[in-house]
Amino acid sequence: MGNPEITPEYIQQAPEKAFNYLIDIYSERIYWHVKRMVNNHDDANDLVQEIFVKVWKNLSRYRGESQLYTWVYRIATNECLTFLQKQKKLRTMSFDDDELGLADQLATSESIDGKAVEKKLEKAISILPEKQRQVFNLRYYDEMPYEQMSTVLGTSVGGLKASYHHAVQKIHRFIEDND
Amino acid sequence: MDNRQEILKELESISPELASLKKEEVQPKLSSVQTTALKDSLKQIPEKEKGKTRKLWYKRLGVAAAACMAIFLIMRLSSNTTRPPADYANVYLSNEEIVLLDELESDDLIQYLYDDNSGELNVEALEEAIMDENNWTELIN
Repeated sequence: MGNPEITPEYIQQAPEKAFNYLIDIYSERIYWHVKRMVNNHDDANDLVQEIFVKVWKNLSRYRGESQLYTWVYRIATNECLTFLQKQKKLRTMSFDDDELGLADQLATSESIDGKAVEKKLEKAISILPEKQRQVFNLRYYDEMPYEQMSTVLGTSVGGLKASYHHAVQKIHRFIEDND
Repeated sequence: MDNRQEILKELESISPELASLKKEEVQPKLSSVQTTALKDSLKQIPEKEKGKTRKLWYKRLGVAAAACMAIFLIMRLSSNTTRPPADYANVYLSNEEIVLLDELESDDLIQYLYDDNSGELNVEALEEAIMDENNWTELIN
């Protein structure tokens, strides 16, 4: 997943080339990461644009302290969280209502297709608390190691493992109950 | 053990259903048209941002030019008085005195303040005017 070719030195020398390379490697992966968080294709598309604008603006400041994809994921995750918080404020809903809002968005989203069981999984994920949903998505779909997830989300590995465990249990129960 | 196997093992211990779902999972993909559109629009970001930065600089330059013009006009207007050609540098005047001198634009006063013979500023007369600025017209008369 890491890309040793895009070093800070390479970025300084050829920022646009490095940026285009980043788009080729990560844009689709970031799209799906964002899409899973916001459950809406149009919002995901807009957010991906904003994320890559931020990536471009901050690319020269990348010092190689973390892997590049971890750095991009962190920007993406923060943008998604800001977006979700804004939406929550706009709706002036309670936390539970907001989760239902995400689930409703999922139900009306046209771009999702797949088997019934997959839809059930997506529905189960959409009603997880925000933190557990992030952890589950990063682990289950993006197959991110806990150490890197810890850098992206700024949470301890132990905390992430606990969140993931709870998330899986809840999803398991949801799928069983809705059989 | 690679990361995927570790994830599967982890899932099996909590939810065998999820583990089997994960095994069958097909990574979602955007259509090639969607992917191309997404990448093309993202690759335009550097150019768009450079354009924005240029516009911002033009705007800043415009504001700076307008501010300079305004300062120049204010200075020009404020200096457009009937100040005599006397050299203020010959006498030491405080800021207050200079301001007062600027405010007192009467030709009469100016004549009064300047010595008829030497053509130089009459400092004593000026000080008197300053001390009693409200009655300076009486002073002249």
